[in-house]
Parts: sequence; C-alpha cells; structure tokens
Amino acid sequence: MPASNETASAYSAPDPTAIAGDSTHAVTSTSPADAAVHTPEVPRRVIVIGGGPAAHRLTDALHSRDTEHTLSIVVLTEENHRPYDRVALSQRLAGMVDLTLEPTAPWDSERITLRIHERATRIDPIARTVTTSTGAVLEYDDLVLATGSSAPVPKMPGREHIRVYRTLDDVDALVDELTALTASLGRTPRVVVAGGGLLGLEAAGGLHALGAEAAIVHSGGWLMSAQLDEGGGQALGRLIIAQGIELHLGTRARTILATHDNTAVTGLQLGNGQEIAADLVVYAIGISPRDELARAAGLTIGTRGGVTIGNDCRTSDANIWAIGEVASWNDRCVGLVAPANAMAEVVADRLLGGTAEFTTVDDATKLKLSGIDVASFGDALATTPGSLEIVFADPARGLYQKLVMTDDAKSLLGGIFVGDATPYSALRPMVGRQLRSEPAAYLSAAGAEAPAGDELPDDALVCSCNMVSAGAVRQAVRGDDTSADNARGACTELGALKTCTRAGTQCGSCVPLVKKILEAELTASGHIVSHTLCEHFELSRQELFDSVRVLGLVSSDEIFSRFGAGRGCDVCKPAVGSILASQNTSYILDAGRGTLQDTNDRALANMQKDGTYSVVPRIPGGEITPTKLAVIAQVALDFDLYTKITGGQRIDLFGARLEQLPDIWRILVDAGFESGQAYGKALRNVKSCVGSTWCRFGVQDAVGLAIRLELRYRGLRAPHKFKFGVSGCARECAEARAKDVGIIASDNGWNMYVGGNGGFQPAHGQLLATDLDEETLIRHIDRYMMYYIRTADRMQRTARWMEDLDGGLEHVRDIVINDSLGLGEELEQAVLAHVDNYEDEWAATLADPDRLRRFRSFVNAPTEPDPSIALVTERDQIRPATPAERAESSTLLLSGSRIPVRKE
Amino acid sequence: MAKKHSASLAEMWPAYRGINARTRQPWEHTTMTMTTAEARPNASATRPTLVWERACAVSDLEPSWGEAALIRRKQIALFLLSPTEIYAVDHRDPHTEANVMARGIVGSKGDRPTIASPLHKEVYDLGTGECFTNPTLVLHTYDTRVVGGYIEVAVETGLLEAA
Ligand SMILES: Cc1cc2nc3c(=O)[nH]c(=O)nc-3n(C[C@H](O)[C@H](O)[C@H](O)COP(=O)(O)OP(=O)(O)OC[C@H]3O[C@@H](n4cnc5c(N)ncnc54)[C@H](O)[C@@H]3O)c2cc1C
Ligand code: SF4
Ligand code: FES
Repeated sequence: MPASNETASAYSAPDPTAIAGDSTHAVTSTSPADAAVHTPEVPRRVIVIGGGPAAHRLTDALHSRDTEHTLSIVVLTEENHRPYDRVALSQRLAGMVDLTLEPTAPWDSERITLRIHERATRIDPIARTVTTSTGAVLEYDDLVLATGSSAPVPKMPGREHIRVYRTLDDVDALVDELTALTASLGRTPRVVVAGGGLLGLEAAGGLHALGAEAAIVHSGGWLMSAQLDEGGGQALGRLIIAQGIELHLGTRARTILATHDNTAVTGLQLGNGQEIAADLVVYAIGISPRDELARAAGLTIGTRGGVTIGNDCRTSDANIWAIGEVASWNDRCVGLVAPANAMAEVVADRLLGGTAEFTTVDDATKLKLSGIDVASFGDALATTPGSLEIVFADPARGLYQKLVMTDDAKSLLGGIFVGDATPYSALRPMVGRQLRSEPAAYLSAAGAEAPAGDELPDDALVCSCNMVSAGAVRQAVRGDDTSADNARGACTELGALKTCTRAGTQCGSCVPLVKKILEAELTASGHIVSHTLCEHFELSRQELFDSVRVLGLVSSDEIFSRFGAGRGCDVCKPAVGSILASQNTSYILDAGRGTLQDTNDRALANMQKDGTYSVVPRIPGGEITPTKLAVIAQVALDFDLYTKITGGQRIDLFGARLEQLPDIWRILVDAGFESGQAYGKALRNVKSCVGSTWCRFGVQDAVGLAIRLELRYRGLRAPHKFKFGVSGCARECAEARAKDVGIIASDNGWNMYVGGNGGFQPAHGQLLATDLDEETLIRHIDRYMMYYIRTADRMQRTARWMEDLDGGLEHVRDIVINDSLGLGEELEQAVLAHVDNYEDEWAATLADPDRLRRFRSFVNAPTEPDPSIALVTERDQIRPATPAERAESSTLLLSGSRIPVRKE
Repeated sequence: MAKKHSASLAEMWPAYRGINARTRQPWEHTTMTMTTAEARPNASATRPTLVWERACAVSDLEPSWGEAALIRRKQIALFLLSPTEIYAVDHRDPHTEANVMARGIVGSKGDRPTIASPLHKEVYDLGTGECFTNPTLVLHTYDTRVVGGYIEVAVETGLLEAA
C-alpha cells in the first residue's frame, strides 16, 4: 500500500490499487451530494459510529433499500455485543434474555462490516478519516454519529461507588453485585436509586422485583416530573409506595457514605441533611449526549450538549450526520427510541439520494413497570395557550386520568394516565385530531370504550417507536402491500403482523392497539376473528372451556346442544374434543367423541401423505434399553416400516396401514411400550441431555427429572402440542429454551423457562424462576400448564399465548409464583386428577373389541389393505411412490408392491 | 347378518399381515380401478347405467364416523348422519389422491352437511361434492338407499364390467 501504511481499509474491493486511488481522491472530493455516481465497483463509503438502536435501524434500512449496492458500510461499536435493544434492558434485569436487535441479517451482508468492541477515538473531518481504539484509520465519504448518550453521574464525594443503568454490562453487573451483596450481608440488600423519572423508576422497580429493598431519591416535587403534572405524579407516588418502594422527593443526594476503608457503601446524605442507608447506589438522572468526538472535531454543539443537526439530520459538516440521542435537533436531545429510529430513516433515505426530513419529536412515553400503569403523551402538561384539561381522579383506586384539549374542547392535545392506561394506546394516535365524542367519555373511569381501532384514520401513527401508521397495519393484515420488501401474504396473526410491520416490536405499548386493528380488519374482511371458535360456536375456546368446566359437561352432545349450532366442523369439533380430554382424561374415541377427533387422534397415529400412518412409542426422557430398542427394530422389520429418529429423541415408524396399527401396538405394548402420543395435541416428549450422571459438566440429573416429568404430564391434552426440555447445566445441550417449558440446571437447583418454541416462528423461552427444588418446580409447571390449557386459544402454542396475554410474562409470574388470583391450588388439583386417571391409549384400545373395530380398513373387508398404496425402496427402506413413479410403472400398483428405483 | 357379509369378503381376500403382506395377490395383474376412473369422461358419451351395490349393514356404521367400503375394488367412503341420512363419496381425496376421505371430520356449513379432508382440510359438500375451500376440486358422490337394513350405493356398471 502506498503512503498510508497505517491506513487499514475496511472496505473490500477487488483490486487493492483501486482502494489506494480512491482514498487519495476521497480527501479532495466535493460533498457527497454532488460526488461521482456510486456503483458497486466504486461504493460510497459510510462509517457509522455507535451500535445502538439508531445505528441498527440505519444499517437495516440501508441493507434492505440499497438494492443497487452503492454503499459499503462499517459500523463501529465500543460495546462487546451486537446491537441490542436498550429499551428492553429491564427484561434483562428480570432474567437472562437475549436482547439482540432483529433483524440480524445486515451483519451477515458482505457490504456491511460490524466492528464490535472497537471505539472511534478521533474524527478528522478534513482528511475524512476515523481513528479507532485498535489504531486503525478508516476513510469515509459519509460519517454517521450514532453514539447515543451516557448516564451522567455528578461530581460528589464517594462518586466512585455509584453505579448506572445504561448498558447490558451495567445490568449484568448490577445483578451480580446484588447477588454478591445478598450473600455477604446475610440480609436483603438495600438499593437507593437517584432519579425518579422513567429510567429511575424502571431501575428501582426492577431491582425491587429482584428482591432488594429499594428507595428513590428525586429532586422534583413528584415522580416523573418531566412527563406528569402534580396530580399524576402524586397518584404515581402512591402506587410506588404501595409496592414497597420508599420515596425521598424534592431533594438530592449530596454525599455517598462508605465504610472506613472505603470498600463498601453504607448510605447517602441528602441535600436536606437526612442520612439514609444504602448498600448499592444507582444513578438514573437523565442522559448526557456522547458528543465528545464531535466537539473535538469542531462540529457545532447544542447549548445543552449534543451534536446540532438540521431537518436533514446533517451536522455542521456536510459529510457528517448525527442520529439518535446524540443529535440535538431544535437545540434538544431526546432520550427516546422513536425519534432515534425516525432520524435513522431520514439519513438512510438521504444516503440513497432522497430528501426525507425529520420534523417532529413524538415524546409519548409509557412506563414499563409491572403492576404500574403510567403513560403520558402529547402536550401532557397543558402548555398550549388556552388548552383545557379534563381530569378524573380517584385517589382511593390510585387512578388519575387527564386529557388536554384545544380551547374548543374538540381536538386532543395530549394526556396523562396513571393507574389505568388502557385508553392510552388508542388515544395517542389521535393527537392533533378531533375526537368523535365528548372528551370525558374516553376516560376509562367513565366506563366508556375508547375509540375502536377502525375509527383511526389511516395516517394516524399507531406505533411511534417504528413509525407505523394505522393504514400500514391494515394493509399488512389485508396483505395488499406489494412494495418489494413487504410483499408477503396477509398477516392474520399478531406475531406475523408484528414481524412484518415492526409495529409493537420495541417498547410494546402499542400492541393492544395493533391487536384491535387486526381484529377489526379481519372482521371487516369476513375473516372469523380468533376469539369465536367458528360459525358453530360464538364462544372463544377459553369461554367454552370455562363453561364446560363450571357446568361439569362431559359429552359432546351436551356441549353442542347448549352452546353449538349445526354439526360443527373441523375447527370446533377437535376443540371440543380437546376440552373434554383436558378436563376428563377419558378414552378419546368412546361415546361419540371419536367423531370429534382430528385426523391423527382419530387413529391414535399420525397420518402421512399416502394415508398410511406413523407410529411413535413413548421413550421417556429419550432413555431406552437395548432390549426395547431391539423390539422396535423387530416390529419395523416384521411390518416393513420405514424408521427415522425424531427431533424429540424418539423413533418414528412409518408406513403402517390403519388395519395394521393394532397388531403393531400389541407387540409394543407387550414389550412395555406405551403410546408416545405424537398424534395428540398433548405432551409430546421431554427432551434431556445426559446430565450429571455421565457428563463431566453436568450439575443435576437431567435424565431423571425428564423421565419424572414425562411420566407426570404424558397424556395431558392441551390447545396445542407441547414439549419440555431438561439440560443438566448451563451449556444447554437439550435446547430446553426452545421448548414450551425448559428446565436448566443451576448449581442450586433448576431454572425454569417458559414459552419457548421451535418451528415456524421460533421463540426463546423466558426465565420464570430460578434455583427451584424439584417439588416447587413441579408445582410451577402444574400451574403454568393448566393455566395455559384453560386460557389459550385453540391451536395456540405457549409462545403465542404469552404474547397475547395481557401482561405477558409478568402476568404468568403473578399467577404461577405469586398466586395472585388464588388459582394455584385448583390448577394443581386439575393436573393431579389427570395424573390419577391417566391410562395408555393403546393398551386401552387393545383391551376392548369395540374399540379395535375402529381400525378396520373397510367396513365390508376389515383387514383388506388399501390397494392404492404403492411403495418404492430408497436407501434400503420403503417410501411412498411419487406420482411420476406410479405413472411410469407398467403394472397396477398394489399395496405392498414395490417399484424398483433406478440407480443413477 | 352384516358381520357375516363382511366376513365372506374377508375370506375372499385373506388377511394381510406383517411381512407376508408384500406377497402378490391374485388380482394383481388385472387393470381396473384407476383406468376405469380415468376413462369416465369417455364413458359419459354413452350414458352409464347405474346399479345398486350392497355396502354394509346400517348397524355397521356409527353416527358421523366415516368408514370406507370396498365395492368391486372401488373405494367408497360412507357417512351415516342419521339412520335415514347416509352419504357416499369417493374415498379418494381429490387433492392428494390418497384414499382417506372416510377418515375426515363430518360437519356442516350453513345447512349443508360437509366432510373435511383429513390431509389438507379442504371442505366438501357431502351431498353435491362441491368444494367450499378450493372451487377447482370436486368430490365424486354416489346415491345411497337402505334396503332391508343394508346400505346400498349406486355405482356405474362400468365399474362392474372392469371388475
Ligand atoms: C433502561 C432504559 C430504558 C429505556 N426505556 C425506553 C422506553 O421505554 N422508551 C423509549 O423510547 N426509550 C427508552 N430508553 C431510551 C432508548 O434506549 C434510547 O433512546 C436509545 O437507545 C437511543 O439509541 P441510540 O442508538 O441513539 O443510542 P445508544 O442506545 O446509547 O447507543 C449508542 C451506542 O454507541 C456506542 N458508542 C458511543 N460512542 C462510541 C464510540 N466513540 N465508538 C464506538 N461506539 C460508541 C455506545 O457504547 C452505545 O452502544 C431507555 C433507555 C434505558 C437505558
Ligand atoms: S447441558 Fe451440561 S450436563 Fe447436559 S450434556 Fe450439556 S454440558 Fe453436559
Ligand atoms: S410504540 Fe413502541 S413498539 Fe410500537
């Protein structure tokens, strides 16, 4: 490389000399707007400093929209993580969740280089280079500052003891420190959080939920004083105190007090002279924009910090842009993700030659603290001249709601909700618009419904984090958005809708509204909205389940005559069958119930494409003796079945005809096998690793637990199939977090994860509880599964169910751990009744000639094989013949006949 | 009575089990079922004659639980909705060509009785064979009647000849 031997170019280009030529040129080229045309051969070089949500959004937008490949992008991030969702940090506090921002596809693109754990240390705006902490000097045509902010800590005695709550590492360290303190102090540690705004409340609430005693010190006269008026702040204060968090308002911390050797915090002294005890001090008093590089490079800085940008998001240097919290627009930095995303979109557009502008800041906020509903939006503090405030307050119920209206009381300007923020998501998009009815009607206290989803104008913003309008959501539901990156089918399910529009994927506060719009749109287009089962039942599965349970109904005729209409269909009949099976645990094909069952349940086997079945014996925990393996092998040989190991540590035998099933099962049952219920919407299997018995890393007996669980929950029918997994240590070899219930051994017991899912829409299980002993674990699983069985929609896996559940994981925790509805005992009893009544379906079938009769191939020729089944041999086993093979074969195909397959 | 009827058929085509299942059957060389089905459009030039063939006793069927019957090598799915309401349709699923229709779920759409394919859940009108979920599919239907406690199905003579 000539001249610049310390210049490491991060840009890949086919010819190294081209880089050198280009780099010398880059220094003298004019502003990018009028620079030479950029093509894949001569890409425009973009450096992004920072790897937060703003940088992610920018890169993702460029990745999907730069279809001509005119850009080559380097993203520098000093944190040792891929860009993650800072907004969701409180979830990390509650458990080890993966917050990596989706999609991660941009990081795999060859046009984009993500340099993790590498800090930009200097910008040279004349040479257009960025120097990094590794000593690399990178050249750019365009530079984007997305450095965000840091958590400020004022200068004061004892400052070195102060912790902050800003990054993943901060959160992980806080959790560790809290654990260590609990151990060393031998009592509940006491945390004092300085700052009573959104961040402070989240930190205090989160640490309190982790078991610490918590107190908040806040300089304002009431909590969230930037977003709430005094009435709202007072109401919130009462709610916080009710949770057991102590408040010190209207004062600041002046000194952090420590032990004599200055190794541990003992408390803090407040401005009002009071001293309060503390073992841990966390500061969450606001944000300081990370504008240090920009300052040093001579860029214009806002009066309160931050890099000054215009509507085009350009800084005072034409080749440098700034987005996110570091950007000061209208002389103000905003600590919210919505404007950061919006700025990222503007810069993405501009880098691709567009003219987008950033023109408004939406600073609506909703507190993400379990059990406390607080939201504020628009002109919440009523600063607009002449504005009217409509207030409803009920201190006894901890309720405070306010709408701010224009002077004619017609258009909405903003509002505050404390205690019950239900109307928030529907009202926020109405800011600046006329409300249809009298304002007071919208307050939930008045008992009226807020405007329904279908009344929202198409251009109203539903999700401000991701700038998704009501129209865009509706379009996605209808599936008529044909723009290149969104061209996909109609999203008729909440999960799919969120993925395809991005609405609701960040702070989550708009999800109820998105759901409402989805349902309204589905109804309008003639779809059956998920909560009524079908044309034959006007109840949701949950309502039907409860009615059947309360009335003690045990037959499908009773259920149909009370609640149904017509003969039912393939939607409601299996649902009724499943409800009866979940509640009564009796043989599913007796007493007319057989006609309710879906394809597989009907034959107690899994129907394959040619009408034959596959057979899966239960192998609890995946543990099997060689003798039993030999039985399976012999059955497969005798009946000429295709064998394959399943993903659930079992063996699947394919190609059995209906009338062969009893004969096959007679041998299996005699050898001690029972039905694996691979056909049922029931427990499939409990996958386990070999655990501490053999594995040199294992800390608990994973196989033993897996077998115990599989034997407990086998046969339990649910709205959908469910799977468990048990790993013997944190290495997680059993992939338990991809299961509906995942259990991972810890040194002190078992950690329980819920709502995991593989398949079409994968989801990681979320941590529900840690360090459980086996009995508590089983009690939790009983409650969790039975609550799911009672309340989920038909065909809804646990992951989607938790997504749809108001309050999600927190709600589940309330039910399962805190037993907040007092249902615990009843749920456990329901599981116990199942365990007591369980019988193996195949043993029960074989014992009764009337039941066996159902397995005849033809009513008039009970053992006659289906003559149309045709098989070929491939890799030494049978498989169904393809239509082409059938056509090619000169003889008529008969059951059992084989077409020889040509070897290539 | 009914049992005896089935038993005699079973005797004609002996029980079929395990590894022996793969041995050749006496009727293996004949060419019938499939060719006949394909030939039907041509056959319609000369109006086919229908004959009533006995399938099974009414008491052999359980309400709403479909079963297949083998009528001269033709697989026909039977559904008894009430002792006076019996439907017969092709056992062959028009979409996948597998012989499975008798194992679908019986239901209704409005006041029309339906059958859902057990494989991909296309829903058909049991009486007319019209498909509600994919208009390009049709399920062949047969007339039925009850004579002396037995269910009879009207099949084309072509079927008999081929057999
Ligand atoms: C606990 C918490 C809860 C929050 N909750 C909400 C909420 O509910 N709603 C909401 O709207 N907002 C919320 N926010 C605010 C939101 O997270 C931020 O607005 C958002 O993260 C801003 O994104 P950004 O990319 O501009 O900056 P950041 O997320 O701060 O990312 C900047 C990144 O750049 C890195 N960086 C900085 N300087 C350099 C350098 N020189 N070289 C390399 N890398 C560098 C930083 O380490 C950081 O990783 C919350 C924030 C926190 C901390
Ligand atoms: S999860 Fe742990 S105990 Fe289980 S196999 Fe893996 S390393 Fe061993
Ligand atoms: S408003 Fe935050 S995710 Fe939609």
